[in-house]
Amino acid sequence: MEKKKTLRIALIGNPNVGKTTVFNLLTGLHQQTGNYPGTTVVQKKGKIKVNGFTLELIDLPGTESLHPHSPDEQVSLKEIIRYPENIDGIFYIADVESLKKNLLLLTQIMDLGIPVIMILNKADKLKKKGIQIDMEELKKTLGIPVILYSSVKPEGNLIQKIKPYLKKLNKCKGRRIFSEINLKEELKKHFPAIDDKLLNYSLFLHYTEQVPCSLLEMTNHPGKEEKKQLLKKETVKRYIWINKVLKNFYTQNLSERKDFTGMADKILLHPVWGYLVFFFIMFLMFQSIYHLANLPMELIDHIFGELSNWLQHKLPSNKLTDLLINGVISGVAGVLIFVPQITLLFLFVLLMDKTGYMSRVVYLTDRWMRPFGMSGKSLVPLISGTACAVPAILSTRTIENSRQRLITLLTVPFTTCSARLPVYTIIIALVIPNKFLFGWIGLQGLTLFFLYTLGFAAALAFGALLHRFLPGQKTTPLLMLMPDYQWPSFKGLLIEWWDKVSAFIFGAGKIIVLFSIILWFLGTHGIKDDKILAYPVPLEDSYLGNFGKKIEPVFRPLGFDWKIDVAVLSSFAAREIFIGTLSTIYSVEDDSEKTIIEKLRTEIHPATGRPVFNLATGWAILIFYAFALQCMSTLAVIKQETGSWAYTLGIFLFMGLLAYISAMTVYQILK
Amino acid sequence: MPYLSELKPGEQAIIIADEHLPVKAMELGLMKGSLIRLKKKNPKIGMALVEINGQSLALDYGLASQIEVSSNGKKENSPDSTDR
Ligand SMILES: Nc1nc2c(ncn2[C@@H]2O[C@H](COP(=O)(O)OP(=O)(O)OP(=O)(O)O)[C@@H](O)[C@H]2O)c(=O)[nH]1
Repeated sequence: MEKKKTLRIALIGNPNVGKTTVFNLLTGLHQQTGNYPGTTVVQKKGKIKVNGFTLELIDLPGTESLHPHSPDEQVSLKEIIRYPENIDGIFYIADVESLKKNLLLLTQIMDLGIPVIMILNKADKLKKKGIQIDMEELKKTLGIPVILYSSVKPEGNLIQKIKPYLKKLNKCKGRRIFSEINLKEELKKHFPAIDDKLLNYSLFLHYTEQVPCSLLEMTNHPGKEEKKQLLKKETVKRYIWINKVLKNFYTQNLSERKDFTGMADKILLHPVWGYLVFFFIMFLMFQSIYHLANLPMELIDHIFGELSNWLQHKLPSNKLTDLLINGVISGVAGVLIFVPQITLLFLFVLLMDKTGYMSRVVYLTDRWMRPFGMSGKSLVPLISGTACAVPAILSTRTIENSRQRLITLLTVPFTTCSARLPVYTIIIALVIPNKFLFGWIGLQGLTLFFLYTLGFAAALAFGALLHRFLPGQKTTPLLMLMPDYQWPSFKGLLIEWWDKVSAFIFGAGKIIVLFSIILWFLGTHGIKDDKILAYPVPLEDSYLGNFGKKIEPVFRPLGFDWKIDVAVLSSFAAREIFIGTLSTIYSVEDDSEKTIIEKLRTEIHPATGRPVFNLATGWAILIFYAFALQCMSTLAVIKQETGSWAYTLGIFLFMGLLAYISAMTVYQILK
Repeated sequence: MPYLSELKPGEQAIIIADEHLPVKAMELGLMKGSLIRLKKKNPKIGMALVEINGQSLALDYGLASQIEVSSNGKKENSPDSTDR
């Protein structure tokens, strides 16, 4: 291995020890990290060059041991056991505070004979927690290099500290305790005929985790109860060894530690205050999303209005100018205008996660989620679903119980994701008066809060429905480590916030701008009696107009006119296209200097003579978007995670039908 | 012998039986011989908060009422042991 130029290194450790933070530090790749145990649910990769070596780093989801209990934990086992040839070594990330627990997984890895370098993270907590570690003794006991480090308050370059060990990585194999703790004897009971030399921990894992291997062809895998007993024996034996050696290098003076977390938990986990604080935080989040973002949004809208106006005067009046102003610029404006709100939303979710508060939400809600077939852990995907359903569905992999996981992932699309926000914002601004109740509760903010609550309520109701009918083991008791509260580093927060916001701007943004250009073309070109009409074609006669009018009867009971129909259908792929489409349609039709909201507000329905966007239509649109599953990526990830077309199409049709019927009911009542 | 859920918040005890515990609980350190401290119990919320190996662990109240512990709790600074 010494001569190998590319080393594949896996970052492994217990949940929440700081793997992703270390990974970011090493690779410079900006990944998502979280204070809620189990944030890394998919593999992340990065490459770095060190001293002529190329290190291919893989950040694996956290796991307590090599015996997985949830789908995310299976990733690590699969990587190590099924494809050991793919890994040259492991950077084992441990946390000074939970070193004892961290040693369980480490001894398992060392028993496999894989080279390991241990990064003992969160060194900044040593003093605060009254912990003392004899590093020399620790290294001697384990037989591997150990680097004491703090990835949030780094002293020195981590890569430089790792560098000396890379050349001799193959020698960093550490102490094997498999025989020392009599686990070999245990295995021998199951394989009396096998040569002693072949009885190793790799066989133990293949046997208990039902991973096929040639030696196992002559025996059956253990039954469920037998496996449980075997794993318990293994855990106990390892902990006995750990307790024995720990005394030699680890001491903690509990009276020295400061327990800010305990004091904060007195309020935040209180059966009354805890919930009040939680609801207050939620309320504050939606009020500020609406009101703080208002000014920058108006500013962006105004700037783009002025820019279009300026270009109109400066550039020659032709097709290209039209495309630039009404296709490209209106599309870009349609993306950027929502950045202030999305910024605030992501900041709130990130802060809840990073400060450790998200775990408290799990604690407070576990019991109340059970009647809906879910657990407290389901609340994290449901809350992060307010940002985007795709990562939220992936994060359900941390839920051990497969039935609870299925219910959670099928209910996540009901929560109000950030793509619905643009639709809500514009429609609320159009139909809900900008008034305040009791002088401080804004009606528009309240409406937004109601729509988010409606999303959650629908998710819970759907969960209860599934809970009644789905087969399987109903619950698994919650067991979860509670991280200390901590204030996240400003830089780290900024990096992650930018990751998410830029994903919206450049990911969703690309699609929106592309759609905007296509729609401009379809709205300014047309064909009549088999003849191509001369540009610019009136919107009524364009491809878009003709199509909209054909489908108008379907959506008429919801109060939608053909322009809204076009916007609804074009947003099938992604909801945020709705406003972009409306904006393009109205820019094509009306090239005055008015902003998009002004254009929509003054639109009159030719049949009724009333504004198109009145209270009834507005609410019908809001309710339609609250329920319809208009997002290709969400459908794709549901298919991937359930492996079932029946669930994927089922949820799509169910939500579509619910959206149509509810919007129609609301319109018919309010009109 | 009392159960973990019967301790008063702040009280410590040694776990004396782990037959009912899932493997995951044992991996997190909840096993016969471990020193555990009850930090908080909320039967209404259905949760308990304990400290084990210097870390806080939230667990289902139902589970906490199945974990048998010794009645004579140790003092705060006593070393943990998993002796069998
Ligand atoms: N005090 C301190 N906190 C740290 C350090 N490294 C990471 N953290 C914090 O620990 C928490 C967890 O960090 P992550 O990087 O998400 O941990 P992870 O191991 O990838 O977590 P999972 O994805 O859940 O397995 C975050 O709040 C980090 O800010 C450190 O050196 N010191």
